[in-house]
This record gives sequence, C-alpha cells and structure tokens, in this order.
Amino acid sequence: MLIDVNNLSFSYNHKPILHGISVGINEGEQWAIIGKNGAGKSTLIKCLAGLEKITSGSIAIAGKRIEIYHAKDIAKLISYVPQVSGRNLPFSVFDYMMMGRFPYQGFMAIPSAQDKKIVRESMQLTDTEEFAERKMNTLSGGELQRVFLAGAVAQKTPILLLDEPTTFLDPFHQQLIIKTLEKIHTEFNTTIIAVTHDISSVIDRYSNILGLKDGTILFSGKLSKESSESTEIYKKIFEVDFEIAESKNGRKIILQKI
Amino acid sequence: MTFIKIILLIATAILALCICPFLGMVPISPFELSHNALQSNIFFSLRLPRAFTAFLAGGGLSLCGLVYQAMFRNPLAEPFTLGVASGASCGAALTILFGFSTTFLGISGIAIGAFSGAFLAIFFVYGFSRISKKTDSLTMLLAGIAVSFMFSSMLMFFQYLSDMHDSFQIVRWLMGGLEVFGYDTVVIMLIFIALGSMTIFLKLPELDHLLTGEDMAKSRGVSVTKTKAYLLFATTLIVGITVANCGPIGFVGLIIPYFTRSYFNLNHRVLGPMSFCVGGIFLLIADTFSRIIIAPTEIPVGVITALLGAPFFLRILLSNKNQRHIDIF
Repeated sequence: MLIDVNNLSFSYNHKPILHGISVGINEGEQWAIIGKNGAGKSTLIKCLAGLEKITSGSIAIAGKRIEIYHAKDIAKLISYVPQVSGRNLPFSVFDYMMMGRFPYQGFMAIPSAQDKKIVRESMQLTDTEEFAERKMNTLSGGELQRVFLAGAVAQKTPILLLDEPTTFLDPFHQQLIIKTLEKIHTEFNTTIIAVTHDISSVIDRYSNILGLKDGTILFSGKLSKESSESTEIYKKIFEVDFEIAESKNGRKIILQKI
Repeated sequence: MTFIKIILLIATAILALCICPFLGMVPISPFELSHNALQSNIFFSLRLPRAFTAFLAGGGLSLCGLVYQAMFRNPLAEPFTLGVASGASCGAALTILFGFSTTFLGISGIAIGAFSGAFLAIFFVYGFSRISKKTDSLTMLLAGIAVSFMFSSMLMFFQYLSDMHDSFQIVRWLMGGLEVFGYDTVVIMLIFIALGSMTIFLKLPELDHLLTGEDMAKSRGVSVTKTKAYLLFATTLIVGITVANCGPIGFVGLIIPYFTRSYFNLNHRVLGPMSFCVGGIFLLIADTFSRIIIAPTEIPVGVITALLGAPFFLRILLSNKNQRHIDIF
C-alpha cells in the first residue's frame, strides 16, 4: 500500500477538524475527495502532503511514517498543487517549473542538464511550452493552474495531490486540466488524489471516492452510476437530493434535484 | 542582456568605490596622493575606510531587506520591521544614558549596546512565534511591529529621563552616520557582514520558494522553519553590526530591494548579490552627497537617503504601477 492513513485526527487551536480518518490508497489509484465546504477536505490533503502536523494517528507513505522523511525526500514522493490564488510571482514560467526540481538539486540548487530536460518534458506533457518565457504574473487563472500542474509534474513524484484543480476554471480549461491529469496517469501511473466539487463527473473521472462529512469519512471506495446507492451517499454527504439522469445517447449523469 | 546588466553593475560599484573617496571638502587629486602627506592621510585613514563602511552598510541593509521581503512576502518588510532598529536604538540610548563607554575589541560601548538591543528584539519576536506555535509570516510581522513600538516608547522614556547633553547624543545617533577613523570598524563590519551574507547566499534558492508561499515551499522540499531561523540569525548579524556602527539608516533596505527586483526581475540567486551591489553604491553616493552638499557641515546620511530615496521610489512606483513584484498577501 502506497499511502496508509490510520485513525488520523487533526485539531487546529483545540478545534477538531478531522477525526478517525483511516484509508488505504494503492499505487496508480485516482481518488477524489468530496464533501461540503468546511468538511475538512483541504486539511486532509494538506495532512497527506505532510504540510500539517497531525494531532494523533499516523500517515505512512511507502511503508514509512511521513514525519520521519527528510523534507527533500518526501518532496520526491509527493507533489502538491494548491488552489489557484492570484499570487503575483516575479518568476518566468520556466524558472517556476525549475523550482519543482528543488528536491533533486544540491548546492545552491543550480539546474543540471537533466533538470532542464525534465522541465522541457513536463512542459510538453502539459502543453505549456508556449508560456515558457512569459512572466507568471501575466498568466490567466486557467494558464496559471496548468503551469502549477506542470511544476508538480517536473517534481516527478509517484503521488500527486491537488486541491480543487478545476473549481475556478471555465469548461475549456477544466477539460484541459482533466485531460492532462489523465495523460499524467497513463504515462507515469501516478497516484492522483484531488479535492473536487465537480460532482456530476466525479464518478467518470476517478476510480475511488472519499466522502467527508464534519471531519469524518462517510464513504470510501468505488461508486457506480447504475445504482441508486450513489445518490443516497451523495445525499448523506451534501444534505441535498440527487438523481440519476440519462441523456439521449445513453450517458448517465448524477444531477442535483431542483 | 541580464549578463550585461550584471557586469555594468559590478563596474559601477568598483568605479564608485574608486571615485567617491576623492570627493569632499578637501579635494584630493589621485596624482598627489603619493607625495602629499595631509592628502594621503585624509584619504587613507578617513575617506577610504568611510567609503568601505558605506558600501558594506548599504549592501548589508539592502540584502537583508531583500530577504525579509521574500520571507514575509510583503514589499513593506525591511531590515527594521522586526523591531531590530528600535531594539538597537534602545540599547544605544541606554549605554549613552549610563555613560558606559569602554571599548571592547575595538567596538564602542554604544555599538555593543545597540548590537545587544538588536538581538534582544529578534529574540523576543522569534521566541514569541515559537512559544505561541505561530511561525507564519503574518504573525511574525505583526509581533515585530508590536516589539518595535514597545522599544520605541522605551526609547522615548529614556530620552525624557536624560539631560540635554545625553539627549542630544541620542538624537544624533538616531540620525545615523558613517564617520569612521582607521580600519577597526571596517574590519569588524566586514567579518560580521561577510558571515551573514554568506549564510544568506547559501539560502537564496530557498527564498524563491518562500515567495511562493510556505505550503508550496514545504511541498518542494524546503525545510521552512529551519531556513527561516538561519535567515533571521544571518540578517540580525548584519543589521545588528550595521546599526551598532552607523545608526539606524532608514529607507535603503526598503527601496533598494524593490528597485533591484523591478530592474532585474529574476530569481534570488542573482538578486542577492545584485541587491548588495546596488545598496552599497546607493549608500556610498548618498554619503558622498552628505559630505559635500553644504561642506564643511555634514548632513546626517539618514537624512540624505530618505531625501534622495523617497522621490526616486515614487518614480519607480509610477513607472510600473500594474506590476508589483510581491503581493501583500
């Protein structure tokens, strides 16, 4: 098992955010974390990335507890793409992507030929070559998200964590990000874990679902569009009604009832 | 293009260091240095060490400004943000008040007081953030401002208690000055600033990462807490020794990094040495102005840096109003 979370709890200022979280994630699986706002999704993904100090329980990555790893070693296993924010970064896109190579670099983080090659390859994979020379602060939200993703790809990790990668994007860029994630998965068999609000298509795009409610796991595993069990679980997680609809050409989709 | 800029800048620095010592109330000709005892005396024991002091102080302060701005992700952060200046001023005022003026290893009592004050201020801020378990940038920045105010009011209290003579001495110290005699001060400053700058230079790639946010930096393999501790220690070394010898020279650490960022717009591996150069040149020129503008009277250099710097800074703000290089988070 690649990621083994055992009875994890996390409190912030004595306020419990997550409790009793246990889940096992195998190599190459694609997990979506869904839940209401404030359910603890972002916190969980930060805990998995080793960014938060967990209060109790344990997270093991590749059989070793996450806090035992040296900072650079864990960065070789896990990359993390945060929510897009309007940050004004002074770097060129190429320089930013090169920063993804930091865990592999030594003295003064001077880029090697190998680093440059990997960055170029990551750009090709994510279709971001056209931005290479541009400054980060001239990119649109959708372009920025693609560059963030490319930076994570350049980090060459077996695990990729994403916090709402498509939430603020238009359908065109959403599609682009999803396609890129699929490419990354087929190319490297990367384990992808993403927080998402894209409820209608989550079953199509992710092999496993983790439903959070009030900081605990309400559901974890596979869901099918064929059975009404899915809508029941959605209802429990989001406290609104869902139904399964079918389009003319037979495509099934889970929709919120209005 | 960048390479040319770097070469140009280094050439300017060397040129400024060569030319500025010749300018002053007593004009010195480079051709008479070898056979005019008075001129060579003024040149070698006053002007030259003073030029070095100015360059080191300006370079050190602006490098620290660069570090703080990246570390706190805030263009308003500067070497004195964490209360270093007011801590140092307070320490200096205390030593003046109690007439403690023995020298130790060539450092004056006032300098020792100032240096201790600077470290005490940082110790408070860092200790607070460690105890409260809030090492995020914003908390540290705010704690620094609180500590700064605390020391400032203590300073006012000391000034209120002191007599006319001491009070004047404190005010004069607060204005800053680069008067040095001989090379004792230069050597000590060089040791501290070289030590601090080397530590910072080794951590320059980490500054790029800190600028993208602490979570991102961590996920890229930067040991954020450790790096910050290193940087805080190194900057305090530099700012402490500078303030101790030259007083709180304002504005350099705020405008020079900003200017360097907008001029070079590069990663910190280049920005670090470049900021040092630009800051050094700036303070050297400001000091030369302060010596010659209304000679034989010298204007305190702190007055000149702000007078020269403020309009220049406003000009930069105008020219790239839509392109700020660090966001206030």
